[in-house]
Amino acid sequence: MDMNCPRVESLLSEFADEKLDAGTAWLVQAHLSGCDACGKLHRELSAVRRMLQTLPAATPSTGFDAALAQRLALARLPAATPPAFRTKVVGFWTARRLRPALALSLVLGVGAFAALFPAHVSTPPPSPAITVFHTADPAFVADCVAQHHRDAAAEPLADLSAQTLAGRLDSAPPENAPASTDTPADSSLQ
Amino acid sequence: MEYVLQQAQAIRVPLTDSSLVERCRASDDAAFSEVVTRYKGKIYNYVYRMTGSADDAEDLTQEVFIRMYTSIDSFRGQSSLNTWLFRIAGNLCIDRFRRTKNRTPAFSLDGPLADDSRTQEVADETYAPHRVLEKVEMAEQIQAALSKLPEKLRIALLLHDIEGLPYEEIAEIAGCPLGTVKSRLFNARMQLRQHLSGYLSC
Repeated sequence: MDMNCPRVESLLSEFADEKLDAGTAWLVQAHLSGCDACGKLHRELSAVRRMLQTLPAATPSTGFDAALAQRLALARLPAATPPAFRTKVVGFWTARRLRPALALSLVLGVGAFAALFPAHVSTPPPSPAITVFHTADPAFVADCVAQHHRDAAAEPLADLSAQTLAGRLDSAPPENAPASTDTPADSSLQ
Repeated sequence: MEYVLQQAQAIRVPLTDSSLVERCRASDDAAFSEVVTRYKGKIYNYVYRMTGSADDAEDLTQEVFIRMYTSIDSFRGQSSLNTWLFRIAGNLCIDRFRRTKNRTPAFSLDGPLADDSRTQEVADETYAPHRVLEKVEMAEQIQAALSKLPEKLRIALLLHDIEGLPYEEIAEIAGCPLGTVKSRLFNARMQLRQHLSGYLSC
């Protein structure tokens, strides 16, 4: 294998990581021992690698576990139930941004229907006047009216107020009073 | 189940990752805590080196474990738990970079100010434990140089040189062929060498 400088440069990273097979590593090492430029590059890359490995390990804060537990508790909460299909459909059609379009389409639809089917949407003709025929006998009607007037003038309550019972209801009967003898009159009111 | 876990811990028998995953699937909180204890340091360090921000690292590392908890049923075990967690962490980092790229432009503390009249305010985390050691100038310069690397190169470099993962596992995490991992590692080191040229005395 010909180990020129570009070839060695491309292998230096793996050489530093000791990932090359033994034969290739030996060839690279042999080239480095005789080439100052590649040797310098190798030393610099190795120095970069060492610098990274000497970086102090960063550690999380003391409140890391508590903060994680808090966030985890939130993550454990049940996810919000997705809206039902009906809700989505209703929400879509009632969206404020769609209202003008819906109103316009409704007007256009009604107009198109009226143009296509004028018989269904035209104003109906006025209905003929209804003639009412009274079939009752005028003599019978007059008789009913006269009877009503007679009943109204008779004052049926006047008969009750004229009876002696009205006066007796104004005061209570005396105690230990003998049984009334007017039972027939009382019973007539029952 | 928790009793078994406690007994295993009492006699110092380390549970395998696969058994922990099985227990996590059964909603075993103790097993989940064990996973967090086992991996939070590695994941945090990786995310911190990826983002360069302690706040982002804390937030994203927690997000890694929440993702693990909520999607443990989808983990088929074709890769190791280690691989899976690093893959989640890498994806979250890239997502964060994409979201914040247009919102908060990053700036370098040692870079020149675009406008001399402006001042830059930096949170004082002098006494934060994870910040104390980073006051060393070299560590800051290395971190600044890492931040200049393209994300894919940075992922490969951090996983190999800091986390010590083999090429094959990095390929699995990054979802790329083995040759691509080698090439990314080489390019990452070459770019880092250029950024840190002032500190290389070879």
